[in-house]
Amino acid sequence: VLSLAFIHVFAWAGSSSGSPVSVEALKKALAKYQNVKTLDVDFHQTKTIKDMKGGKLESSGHLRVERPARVLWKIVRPEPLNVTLDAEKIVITGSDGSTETFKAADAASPRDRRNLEDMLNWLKLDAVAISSSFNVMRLNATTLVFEPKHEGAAMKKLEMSLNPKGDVRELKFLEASGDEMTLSFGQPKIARE
Amino acid sequence: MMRGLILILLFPLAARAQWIDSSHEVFLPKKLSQTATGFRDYPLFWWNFISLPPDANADLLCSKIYERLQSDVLKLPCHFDAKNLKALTEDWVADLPRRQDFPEDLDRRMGQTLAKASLPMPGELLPLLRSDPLGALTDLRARLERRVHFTKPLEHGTIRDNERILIPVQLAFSPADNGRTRGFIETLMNLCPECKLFGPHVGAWENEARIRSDVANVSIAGVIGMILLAGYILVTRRMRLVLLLPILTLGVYLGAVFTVLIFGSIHGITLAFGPGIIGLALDYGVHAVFLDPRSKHTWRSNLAGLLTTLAILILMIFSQIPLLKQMMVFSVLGLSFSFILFYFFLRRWPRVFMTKAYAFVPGSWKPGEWLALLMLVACPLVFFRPVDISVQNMNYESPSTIEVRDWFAKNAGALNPFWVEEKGDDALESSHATREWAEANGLEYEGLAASLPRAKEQEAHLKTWRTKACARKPLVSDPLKREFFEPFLRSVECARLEPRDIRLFPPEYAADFVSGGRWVSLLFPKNDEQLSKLRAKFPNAHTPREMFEAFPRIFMFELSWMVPVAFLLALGFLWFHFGSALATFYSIVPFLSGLGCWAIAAAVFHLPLTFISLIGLLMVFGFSLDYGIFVVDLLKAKNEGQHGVWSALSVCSFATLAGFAPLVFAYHPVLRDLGHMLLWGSLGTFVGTFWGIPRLYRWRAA
Repeated sequence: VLSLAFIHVFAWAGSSSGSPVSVEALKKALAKYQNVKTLDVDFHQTKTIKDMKGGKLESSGHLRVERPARVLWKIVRPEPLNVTLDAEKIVITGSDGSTETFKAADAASPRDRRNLEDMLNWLKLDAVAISSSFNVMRLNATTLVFEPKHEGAAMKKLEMSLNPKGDVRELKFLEASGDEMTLSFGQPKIARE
Repeated sequence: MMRGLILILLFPLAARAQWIDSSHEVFLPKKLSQTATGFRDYPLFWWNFISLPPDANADLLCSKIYERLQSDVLKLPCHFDAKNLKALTEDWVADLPRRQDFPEDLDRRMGQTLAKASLPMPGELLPLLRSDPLGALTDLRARLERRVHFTKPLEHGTIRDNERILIPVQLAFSPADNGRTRGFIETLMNLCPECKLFGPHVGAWENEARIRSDVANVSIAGVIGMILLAGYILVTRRMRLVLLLPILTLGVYLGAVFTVLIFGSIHGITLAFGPGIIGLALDYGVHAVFLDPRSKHTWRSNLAGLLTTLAILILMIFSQIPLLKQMMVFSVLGLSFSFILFYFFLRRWPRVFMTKAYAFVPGSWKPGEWLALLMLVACPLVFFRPVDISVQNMNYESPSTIEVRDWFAKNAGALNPFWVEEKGDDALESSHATREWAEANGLEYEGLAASLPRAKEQEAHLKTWRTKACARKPLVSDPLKREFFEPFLRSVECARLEPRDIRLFPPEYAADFVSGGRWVSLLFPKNDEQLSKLRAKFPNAHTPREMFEAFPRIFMFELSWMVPVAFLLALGFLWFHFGSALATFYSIVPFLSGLGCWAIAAAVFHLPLTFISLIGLLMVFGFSLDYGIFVVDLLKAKNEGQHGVWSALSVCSFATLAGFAPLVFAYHPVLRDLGHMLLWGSLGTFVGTFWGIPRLYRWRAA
């Protein structure tokens, strides 16, 4: 669901406490997102930049996921910006119609290519593939922590909070640079296959 | 004067450290060397290629190169990292107000960039967004890749097919910096032992390493040859001949010292040529001690031999190849000093040196005579061998380098643009004029003008920025935007809004096109019509390939005057010495049989006839005349049975062969080709001397 958040996926500095989550347990936790045809959800995002004294970057908008592998990340505020992702490319479209396209095949950096592969796994919410790239741990009943297994990723850690219904409520990123980002989600609308 | 004295005294110690040169530019004519240096100093020319097997993990190697060799690498397309291009991207963004008018929608576009910045991203991208709210960097990567112009598109920053993966890498230093190149190659080979390399850095390093190794091998082989010669002298109990060696060594040593004084240094290859000079110079001493050192006749023959040899060597000093020039100066000096010293010591103390001749007269030995005749008959074969005067014969390449280079040329060779040197005093204006001409004639252009407008246009753009940035009101009112885009706002402060002076601050993003204040532009003609227009407009524009291909013409020109002049000079001198056309012909028989010997060896061993072998041939001509003169003088005096001359010639043959033969063990084509010509030429010369001249003389007499 939250695939965009994984465009650049995550390396690990230290280890979080918590019990390891098996592939089966992860499948169970993400059960709500299986057999999804489309998913629509509003989001609010806050980014804290280590080098900025007090300013926080905030944005909000709407996320739409179309299975098997298309995501529209529509930022409404502070300035309209659409980000469309699929297995092959990312397209960023500004309010003035200007577009920037990044093709996976053009990504020279092995890290970028690996991150795009990971991102696709998240797009599919494929518990098996995610488990192969991340160490998954359960902090408490509603919080899972993901640590990337490979080196050189841009993020140290991701924390996923689920509500009792199994909806993803919040994602917290801790980036390798020390910046932090929190994504809060509203009530999702799910259409099943 | 003082320098000369110090040099003479300290040469043995100091030479290794300071006065011995091992650069490979010494093989190239000055103009070619300057051209090569001219190209070499532009970073545009600093691309090298790492070849991997098709199933290798290129991604992993790219990451390792990036991690371990970051300071040596300017650009690595398979690991594009904005952080590594910091100076370049900062300069590109800072020049935005010089390229574009102030954007009226700056506030909206900053908001859009803030939205982008809120997305998760690697830490190094955020500073770029903070300095570039207007997206100036979007097309920078594409611009940089366009400069390289491979004929095959890059795939993940590499060139691939079923046979191999090629990783292009632009190094951050000139190919002239061999020490740094060695460090880079050693680290790379530790990371990837199966990798192969080619490119300007690798080529320069490979040549220099090869020269060093060849010089060491040739020197060792030369010393062994000289020890064998000394051993022969001792075993045959001609101890007094050994007394010639210190005199000879002093003569050659003085030759080396004066060569350093003239050229500032002496090349390792010139020094390795020393044993050959010792072999040649020994002729005069040995000839004198086996005959009578007091005899004017002996010294007259010696002088005739010396002068003919010097005539050829001096002629070759006019060669455009610095190494040949230096070798010839060294040879002329070494031979002359040795001759003078021999004359002084042997005339002054003749009894100390006089040696009993070997009881050896070649006489009428049929196999030798037939061999000499065979060589004489074979000498026209030389004219049937194609002359390979490609400049490639001056360049050493290892088999693996040749393999990768051939694959690259066939599969992905970079396009071959024309380099136009821009006017130094106003390179920006000159670049724009070139660009406008290219656009008007449909040619693709790359250079400074593609990135930076003319000063007048810069000023017009800057004016629109100044009205905003120099006003009392802040450019951006939102505190969050002000803080986030602080790096950008700093780069467009009022005080910085001036046209760029490229002489003082050449832009980093155009650094590929500048070297030492000189700028070049690249033009890509697509058809013959564009090519002819380009040649008419820019007569001095050349492609690197075209420049190198022009040099065979220089070599041909050099040979076209040097060979006939050498022959005429020597023949004229011989005719003057003998006063007879027939005796003159006899005296060149050793040369002709030497030529025939090489022709036979070339046919058997598939030796190429290169520019350097032709130069070697001239040298054979020069020294073969010594032997011709000694023997013809002997025969004219009806003294064929006299042992002294034959003894001298047999010792000299041994010494010359021992001096030149080691060169064939070299791998560098210049040394190897020279070595083969001198070895086979010397061998044939001796056969012609011992059995060719006497046989012809006897036939004539009969």
